[in-house]
Amino acid sequence: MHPSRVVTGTVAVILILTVATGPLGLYDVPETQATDELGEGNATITVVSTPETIPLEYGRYGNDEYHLRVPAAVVDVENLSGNPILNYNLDIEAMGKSKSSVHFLDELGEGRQHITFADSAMAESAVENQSYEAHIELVLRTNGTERVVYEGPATIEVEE
Amino acid sequence: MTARGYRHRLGRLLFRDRLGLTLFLGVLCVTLLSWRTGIVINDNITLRETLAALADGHVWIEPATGEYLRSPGTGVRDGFVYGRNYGQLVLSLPALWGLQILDALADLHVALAALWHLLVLAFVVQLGHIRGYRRMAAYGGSGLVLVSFLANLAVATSFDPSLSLLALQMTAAVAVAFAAVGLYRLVTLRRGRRRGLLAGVGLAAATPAMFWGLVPKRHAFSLTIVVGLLYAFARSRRGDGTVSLPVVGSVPVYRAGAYALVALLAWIHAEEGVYLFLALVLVDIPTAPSNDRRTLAFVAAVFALSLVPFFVTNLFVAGELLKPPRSVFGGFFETGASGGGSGGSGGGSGGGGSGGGRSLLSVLVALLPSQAVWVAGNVWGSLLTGVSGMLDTQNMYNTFVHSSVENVNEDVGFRGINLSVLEAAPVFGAALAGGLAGLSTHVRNRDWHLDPVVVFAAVLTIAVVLTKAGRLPLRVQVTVRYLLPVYALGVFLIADSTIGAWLSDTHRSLAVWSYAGGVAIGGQLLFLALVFGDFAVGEAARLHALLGVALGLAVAVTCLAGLADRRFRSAAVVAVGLAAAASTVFVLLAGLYYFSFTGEYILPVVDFVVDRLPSTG
Repeated sequence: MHPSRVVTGTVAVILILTVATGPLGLYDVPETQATDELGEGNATITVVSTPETIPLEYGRYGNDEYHLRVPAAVVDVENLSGNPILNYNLDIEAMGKSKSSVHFLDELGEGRQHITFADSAMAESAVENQSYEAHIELVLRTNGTERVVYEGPATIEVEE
Repeated sequence: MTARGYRHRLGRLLFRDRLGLTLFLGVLCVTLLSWRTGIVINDNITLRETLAALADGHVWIEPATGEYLRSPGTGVRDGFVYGRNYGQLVLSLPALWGLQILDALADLHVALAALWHLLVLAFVVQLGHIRGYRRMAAYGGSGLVLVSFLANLAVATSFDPSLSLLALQMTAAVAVAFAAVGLYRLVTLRRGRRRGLLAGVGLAAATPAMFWGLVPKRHAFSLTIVVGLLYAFARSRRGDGTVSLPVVGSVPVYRAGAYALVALLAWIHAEEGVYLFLALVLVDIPTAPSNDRRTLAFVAAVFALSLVPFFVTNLFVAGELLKPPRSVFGGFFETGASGGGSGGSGGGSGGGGSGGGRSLLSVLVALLPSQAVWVAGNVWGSLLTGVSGMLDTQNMYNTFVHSSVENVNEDVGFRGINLSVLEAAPVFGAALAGGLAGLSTHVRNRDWHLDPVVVFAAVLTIAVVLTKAGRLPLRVQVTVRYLLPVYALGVFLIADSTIGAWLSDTHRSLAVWSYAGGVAIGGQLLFLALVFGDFAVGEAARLHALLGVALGLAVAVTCLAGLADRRFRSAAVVAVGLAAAASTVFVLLAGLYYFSFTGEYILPVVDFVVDRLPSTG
């Protein structure tokens, strides 16, 4: 087949497939994670381990911020139905800061899961002490209710 | 002429030749790989809303009642909220209309992915034409593109982004691609196609230009207009700088074109337009082939005509002919008062006010003199600020050589990326050697005629730096974005110099392999280090900075050595290749990793992969 025929053919196929997703409705593109499903459902969470110390590290390579590196909490997820939300909350009263990470259990699935916490940066001026008391929570949100799966203290260790 | 004939003529006009077209497509495809639907910098919101307003048929965004838009860059006048950068917005209107049509025809996510794949197919086909393997390009390219498109179709989910934002991004990306083509044409004019291609690819690969192609601020347009300016200037100085028109005879189109481009920039950002106008006049008038009355009349006529959109916009937005939209925000030149602030309000009230005189003639007659004084005062004040900024050596060092950490961290959330010019484009270490090479040629031949194009490039560089020197360091710069045109000028000067010859002629394969190896191997190593070293983005930024300075230094040293002794040229070429690779890796990481949180990717597969990468701090 002549090269330009191949190219024209490919262009035609792409165009046809594209238009098929339009008002003709021949192919329905799925919606991004159906939002009405978020928070609906249920799961049984057993907490395996949670961090006791959380490093607050000074930036490397000349970066002059502090970085909070919260270790992952490990939980067992069972009897999962729907898409409940698990919040990993951190509250540092002395600094007046609260941070939270959101996890959708539908994406994680059942079994042993590592619930991570997104690193966050703080300005140098915000950090004065060598350590801070913090409060950790794991909260399960299902069908409009909140269940605190775990709560306890942790110590933030400032590392230069 | 046949349809094919018109197509060829248009192609030649836009891209010069097939190589230019291929370059354009390649740059566009790589840029759009990182295309995301979100906002990176806050005043994108202003531009997005103003464009939507323009599409609805009015220059104001909304009435300033109740809860109205207050994003950075908006200003309120006479009870209406106005935006800025109207020139850029009007240029983005065709893209917006195209997107609206696409949205009606098909699922937008799929349609945009299809568009990208068609661009890639076009790129591969054109590449096949140039390199002589048409069959392989056609079959292989079609196969790969089809497979990739099907994969994207499989993971696509529909989304609902702002069409105005997408239109702004598309137009900016196209502008950057044209900047690469512009450099290609400029250097080809002077040194042949190989060097031209080096310049075009160099802009995309060795500078952060592609990053700014997706952030819809004016910088992509300033970049392209400056390149266009230099090209028009160069073209006008050659024998073929004139065109014969039916009634008027032989006219200097390229010279006039340069002034038209300045007017276009003024429509987008008045202050930059003024500086570039001064730069152009300073170099154009003394070095012009002829300054007879007919030539000057033609140039002046074209310039005046090109300024009409600028004047009309000013009239509608700020109410006065010479007051650009930014004066509504507060002050003519963004800072508010640099000697001209009080004069501004005086000029307004003295000139009969914004409400009166809708008749254009009466407006001109009544306002022009006081307005001119006001403008002159502002320009003078701004120049003084700029010059004093340039004389601040610490500031200039931080901007051009090694960035200082203190400049950024007012806003801890913004990822702390604030690279200096050298750190973002380490290849500029070769600038010194390139300059010396040029100088030594002059000395050796005892020829002191200065090349007007090189002089103009130098003057443009100073002009661009002056626009912001007095106000640097600023937050949220990432790669000194206000000086983006300087990157293009730097690439031009290096590609045009002897160093360029090493890269594109004598040591070509070494250059290509060093670059490819740097990106493929160095890029992956860096990425692994980022992930396993648990780097926060702020730390990664400093790592890039250190890498940039180190490579820049290596480039500078090896290039100087290469000038002295040709045995060092291989080392210099390797250094430049690696330096360019560092820039490319930064742009790719910035688009696909550091800023991946700003919206969904247009390409579903990219979205899919990036979502599964370990996230940064």
